[in-house]
Amino acid sequence: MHQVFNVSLTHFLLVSIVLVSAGVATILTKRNAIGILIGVELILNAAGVNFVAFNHYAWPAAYPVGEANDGVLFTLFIIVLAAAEAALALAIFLNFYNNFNTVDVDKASELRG
Amino acid sequence: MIPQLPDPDELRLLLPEISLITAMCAVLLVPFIQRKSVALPVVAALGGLLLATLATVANLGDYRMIFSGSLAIDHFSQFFKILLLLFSVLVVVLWGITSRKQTHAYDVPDFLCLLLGAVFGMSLMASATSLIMIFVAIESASLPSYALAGFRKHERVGSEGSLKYIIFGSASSALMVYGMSLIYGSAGTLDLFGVAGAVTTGGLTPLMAVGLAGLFVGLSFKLSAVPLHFWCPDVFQAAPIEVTTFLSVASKGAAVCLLVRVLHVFGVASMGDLGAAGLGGLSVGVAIVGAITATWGNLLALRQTNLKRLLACSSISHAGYMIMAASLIISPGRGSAQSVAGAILFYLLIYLFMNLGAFTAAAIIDQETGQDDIRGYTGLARRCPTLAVLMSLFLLSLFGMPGLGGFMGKIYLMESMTKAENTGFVLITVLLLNTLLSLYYYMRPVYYMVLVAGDERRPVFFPRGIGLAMLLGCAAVLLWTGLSPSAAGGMTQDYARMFSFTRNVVDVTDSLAASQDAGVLVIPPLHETPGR
Repeated sequence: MHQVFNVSLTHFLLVSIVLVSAGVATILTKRNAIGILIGVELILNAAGVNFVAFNHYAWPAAYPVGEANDGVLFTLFIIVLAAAEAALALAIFLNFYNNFNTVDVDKASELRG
Repeated sequence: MIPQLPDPDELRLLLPEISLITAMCAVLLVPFIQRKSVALPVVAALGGLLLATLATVANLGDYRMIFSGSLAIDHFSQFFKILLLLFSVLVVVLWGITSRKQTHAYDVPDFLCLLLGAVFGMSLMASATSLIMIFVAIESASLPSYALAGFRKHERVGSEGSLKYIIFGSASSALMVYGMSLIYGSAGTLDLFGVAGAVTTGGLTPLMAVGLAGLFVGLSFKLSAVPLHFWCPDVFQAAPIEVTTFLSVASKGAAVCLLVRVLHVFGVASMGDLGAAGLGGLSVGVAIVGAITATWGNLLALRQTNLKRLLACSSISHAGYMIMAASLIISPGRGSAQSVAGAILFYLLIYLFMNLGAFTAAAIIDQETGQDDIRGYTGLARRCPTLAVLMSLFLLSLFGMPGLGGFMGKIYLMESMTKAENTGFVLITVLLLNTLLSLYYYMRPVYYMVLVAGDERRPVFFPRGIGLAMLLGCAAVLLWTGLSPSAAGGMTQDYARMFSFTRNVVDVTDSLAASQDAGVLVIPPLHETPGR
């Protein structure tokens, strides 16, 4: 198919910047714990996009010797650890819900001093 | 970095971590053999920890990079691992005296498995030298800690503490990973030596600067450095006391070791020429963060009345002292890196026993009187003189009373600071002023225990058995290191030798310069397709 325009590294970086800004904004504004978790996942995925894009455009693997697919490898680790973190976070939120009947983080204010 | 399959020798050096993982699996499988056994999982966990300690001792002389340069096995990392593993054994013992009776038999394997997992992550943190390994190590140390902090599921404060911990922790680690992606984009490698080489040869580009800032956000969360410290008092107060003890020593210690390693790599790569490398700001920035952390932690502690919260704030300021010292690793000086690392290891050793002692004493007081507020400690000197004396000793050592280990720890930190030319004296002044400031809140529990008369009808009690043995052991170590510090001090100096990277860095920078034009990435404008 005819290419309408070339997708370059900058396009991917723009996507990643949009994702990370959305993630930070979500973390800062949401008061629902699950909303904050979604913000964290957005930032992690922005990092994943960065890694793959940098690996493809800026530091491509030069076989048979040279740099390996480090960035792609890191993205795989991000996906796995993000899943583990999400599972644990949801378990902790559920436990918080059992005790407080809400997942509003502003209600988590009994520890002060 | 060309990935290769590990050879048997590398696996031998990884035996401590392998035994920890094996023990985790064993602990989880125990319920299939005997469902309600408490002794079996505890024996499996302790066995795994002791095996890991033995394996670390056996590897003590080794000195190399393993797994394609992502883990550095050297004296520094191995010494910290031995400290960490022995401390974890003591934490399991402390759990036996404090929380075992309240823990359901079904939950015992879970608790031990999470603890072993956190220890695994922390031992990786001590030797991680690639961005991937730093990320994996920090996450596998953090994730079990989040769960451990809320291990008592039916307590409101526990669930609140672990909620705060995981929200702040996952947000800061996400920012750290984003920073790492920018570092990778700028340097083209995940290897810490390669990153440091790219910074020294290519200068501190904006992309790299933002990336490094992200990396240090993740590190300072683990260190509970200001401004990412606010989770620390809440989590430490909410968690069960043995978890608080574990986090206050092991988690911070591992983070300090990681900071030392990262800064050391940058310091060696810049070959003592910080100004040209644009890294002078890094050293000063870390020193400033350390000074603010120490001061802010002390100011927070002044108005605490809950003992766990007070010790949490004190642990923030102790981390601050170690960060201040760690900032000097990067600065040029006549072989000062090893003396700074040695002083930090010595401080960690002392800090371990001070905190373990203070928390064990607090746990026994809590068990006997149901009090964790220091205003409830009135008349304790009459009800239980042994405990009052030991508690005062630990608090005085945390303050830095001459004759106790805490004093020598601070003396060694200051001695290593004198070797840095200018900033050293500023840091020593900050350290001394903070020590004076901390006297007030360390003396408050002593004041209530000794000088305020309590209700005379309350029963007298004595610490017994293992608890008393642990308290006396900690006190003995503090007295020994305080009165004749040369043995322990000399040992930590010997074991502070870190992997000498000079050769590696030259190789990395040479290859980078040859292949990638000094390792600086220029982002192309839109509609241009470089590479493929």
